[in-house]
Amino acid sequence: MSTNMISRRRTLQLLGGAGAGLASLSMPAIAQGAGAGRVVVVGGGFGGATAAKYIKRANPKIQVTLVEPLQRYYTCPFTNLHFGGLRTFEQQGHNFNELRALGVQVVHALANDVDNKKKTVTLAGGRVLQYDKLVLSPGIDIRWGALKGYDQAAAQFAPHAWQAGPQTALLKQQLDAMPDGGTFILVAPENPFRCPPGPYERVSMIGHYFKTQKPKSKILVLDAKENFSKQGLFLDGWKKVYGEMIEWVPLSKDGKVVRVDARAREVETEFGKKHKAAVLNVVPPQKAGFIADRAGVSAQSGWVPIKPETFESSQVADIHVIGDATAATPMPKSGFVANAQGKVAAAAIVAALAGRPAPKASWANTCYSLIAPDYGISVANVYNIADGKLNEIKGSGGVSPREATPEFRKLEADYGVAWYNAIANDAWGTKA
Amino acid sequence: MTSRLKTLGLFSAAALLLASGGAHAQALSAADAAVLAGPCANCHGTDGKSNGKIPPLAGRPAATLAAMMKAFKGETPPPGTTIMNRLSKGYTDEQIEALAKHFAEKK
Repeated sequence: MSTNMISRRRTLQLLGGAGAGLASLSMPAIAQGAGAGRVVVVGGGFGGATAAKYIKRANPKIQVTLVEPLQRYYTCPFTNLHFGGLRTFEQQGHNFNELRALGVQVVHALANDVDNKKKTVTLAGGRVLQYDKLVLSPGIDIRWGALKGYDQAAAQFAPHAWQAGPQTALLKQQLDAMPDGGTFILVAPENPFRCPPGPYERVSMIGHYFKTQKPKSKILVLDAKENFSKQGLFLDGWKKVYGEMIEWVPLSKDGKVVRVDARAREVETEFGKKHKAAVLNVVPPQKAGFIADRAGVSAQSGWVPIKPETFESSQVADIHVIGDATAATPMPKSGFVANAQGKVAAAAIVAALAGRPAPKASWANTCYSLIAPDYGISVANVYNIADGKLNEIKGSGGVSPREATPEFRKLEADYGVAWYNAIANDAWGTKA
Repeated sequence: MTSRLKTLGLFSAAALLLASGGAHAQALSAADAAVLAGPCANCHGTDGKSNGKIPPLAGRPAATLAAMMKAFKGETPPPGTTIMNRLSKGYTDEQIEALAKHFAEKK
């Protein structure tokens, strides 16, 4: 891009900013005509990319700015298949070309601060963006130190790999370097956390890697919970495909890890038992991305309470929060849900800027997990609002049948990949 | 004046209920249907235009789409299907009709 172009854009933004203070006092959208207004979206993942796209598609006159530090965004979903040797890391990467082509201004910077009274977002480097409506889709931050011994330095020895990127590469590298016969330990957290079936799919895929490359190796899951997502299906699948390779230790069997020594790759449980790993993967306690704190939308829990109808923050007006950062029980923190919430928020914002009430909200979720290349399982749900709260519609949804044919498991494995390709196309325009 | 407005308000609310066949069947606007259809795109593609193994929805006759969704709800869902049996049960027949119309109109 030419500097000319940039400076022209800057001037336009400055002009917009100058007028904004006045306009936002009264009726910002209507003042600019045709239900337009300025929307800033923070975060280019499943939620943010979808929200930006669906706002722009619904009303191209709305000025939409997407703020995302990465030029190429990598999803955490499907990186487990990378550990299984079934996909390259690059296959989880997505660019923002489709959003740009739609007319979304994509700014590759970190959003550092939000002033919810002046309605501004400050980027690293000092640039200030004015908004009429703000969408935060910041994903998760790790609660460093919440698990004793697990801080940022520790993650360089015992990766979490719960945000795709260098952490994914580090865990892959450690698995590749591990000698046959080693023990892989995964430390699983209490609820709520990003991607409830994720830890269990991860050990399945690492099981596949071990079975085919390092068959004398073992897998131990130390869990702070008594139950987990799709539990029966995972336990059945592990036994069937991996025999005795994968051992899961629940809370009641002293599965809760209370201390991590990342350099020694050793963990200690509640009752003082020490386990040593050849490769140690800690899925640590989490919270909403830090920008939620800066915007004043997060609660004591670390997550963001929202109004179900619109996913607007229940604490601050004109800030909508979507995805893993939200406290949206009974919805899981999944990419599918982030996308679905993004569409509900987008529709509500487009309607509000045009002075109309929000359309009736509805959401669904489907999470596929892979136990082996030809062995997929799923959980699906439909949600509405009942008595003012998010509600899982009774009689709908559920997990794959416990008894199913190998053909059914194979179909679900195939549909899982088809889902990923479809949602990546829906959110980022990625062509498989 | 106020009471006249109130009367009119009550009257039109009652008329709406009658027109839509009672409290259980609230009329769905096109905007409502678009939001209802939002999650379908996650597997069936944006606007129901599939880019892969999962069948497309866009531009197929509304009657066909509605009949399929209703068939998914049954005890013996069509062969080769996996999650639609579970998902379809989350939608009323009226919502299914609205979804079918929404996707039939996408070309």
